[in-house]
Amino acid sequence: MQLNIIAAVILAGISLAGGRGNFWMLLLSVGFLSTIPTSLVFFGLSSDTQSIFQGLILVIAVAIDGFRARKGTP
Amino acid sequence: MTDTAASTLPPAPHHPWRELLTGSVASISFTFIAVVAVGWFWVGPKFLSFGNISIMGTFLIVPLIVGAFSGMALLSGVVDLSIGSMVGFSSALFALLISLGWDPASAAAVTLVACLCFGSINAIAIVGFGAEPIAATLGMLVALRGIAWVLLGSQGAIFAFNIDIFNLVSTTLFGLPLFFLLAILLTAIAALIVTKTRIGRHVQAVGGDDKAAARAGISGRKVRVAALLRSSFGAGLGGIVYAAQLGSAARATGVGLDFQVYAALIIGGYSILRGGVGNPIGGALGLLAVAGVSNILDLKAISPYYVNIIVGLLLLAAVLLDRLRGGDAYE
Repeated sequence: MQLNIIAAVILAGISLAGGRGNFWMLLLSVGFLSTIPTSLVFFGLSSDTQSIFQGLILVIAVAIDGFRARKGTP
Repeated sequence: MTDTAASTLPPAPHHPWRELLTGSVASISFTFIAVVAVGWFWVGPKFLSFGNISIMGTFLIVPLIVGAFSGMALLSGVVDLSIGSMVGFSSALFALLISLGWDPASAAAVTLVACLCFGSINAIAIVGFGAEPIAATLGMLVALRGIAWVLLGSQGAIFAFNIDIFNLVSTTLFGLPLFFLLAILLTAIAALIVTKTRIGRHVQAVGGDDKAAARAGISGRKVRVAALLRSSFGAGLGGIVYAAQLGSAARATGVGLDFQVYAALIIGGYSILRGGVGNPIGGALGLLAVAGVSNILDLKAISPYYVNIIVGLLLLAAVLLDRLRGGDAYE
């Protein structure tokens, strides 16, 4: 459960280092992560695959976040 | 390069005993001795009997292997949270391949390569893109858990008992499990690499201050990629040993192992957010001390739930001690 929450926070673009983020994006990201189980059912995948997608989305989101932060700093 | 600086300053006198009191393994040495002393006086000589140590050792093989490798990653300033799931994934894949009739050596090789692939995804995200290590490996933790569950199928467990592997991992030498001794040897080798070789100094330099290390010509990227790959390799190795010990893999395999290992490593003098401190010997002593506490409680028939309280208090003490010792790093 706490992993889901942290995933949602990071996906919302709220920086773990603090000082950057937007609460409305948190609403969006929670909504997005909650649609994953439902959409997997539509694709006919078992619910075990849910965490694979959540995890990979988290890794990609964090990588993009890090890339943006790196480009932002001189 | 540092020759001129070193020749002007007299070399600091080296006292091995003072090092033991103030060095990186000081607090854990005291904790370890205290645990052994409590065990000796409270439980009696049977606490240090070969039978009891080999029981503890059997359960410590996987944490020691995983801890030796992921401790090196902590030392270079990256924390790999995915090791617990990596152990679960590796044991699931290994058990699956064994149950499909592969021979153990090639199954182990394929499992290790798969673990290294996931480790390199970690490395690409963290070093290549500059992702936060905690967050990226947290994602990998979730993803690998899912992959392990998919591999295990709807039953949630794979039985892959292979008598040859089981005999191999339960071989004893001098009354102690052979793999426990090998894990201790691995820790000693890791400690030698960290303290005595150029590679180890590079790892410590990058963990301590990567900008200063870069100015000294050490590639922080290379060191961190190597650290992440090593940590996933260690977790893969641990998972294989786990599957071989149990003769099966289940959904719960490896759950909580990451917190067990990291709690012990922090008690042993490592720091999660600050690289460059800690020593593999300290990490191994931390694991031994925690195992000793739970063993004492088991032998005195005290509820094992108290272990968590004691480990939590030790962790708090270790964190405070780390703050006292390395306070300047935060100022």
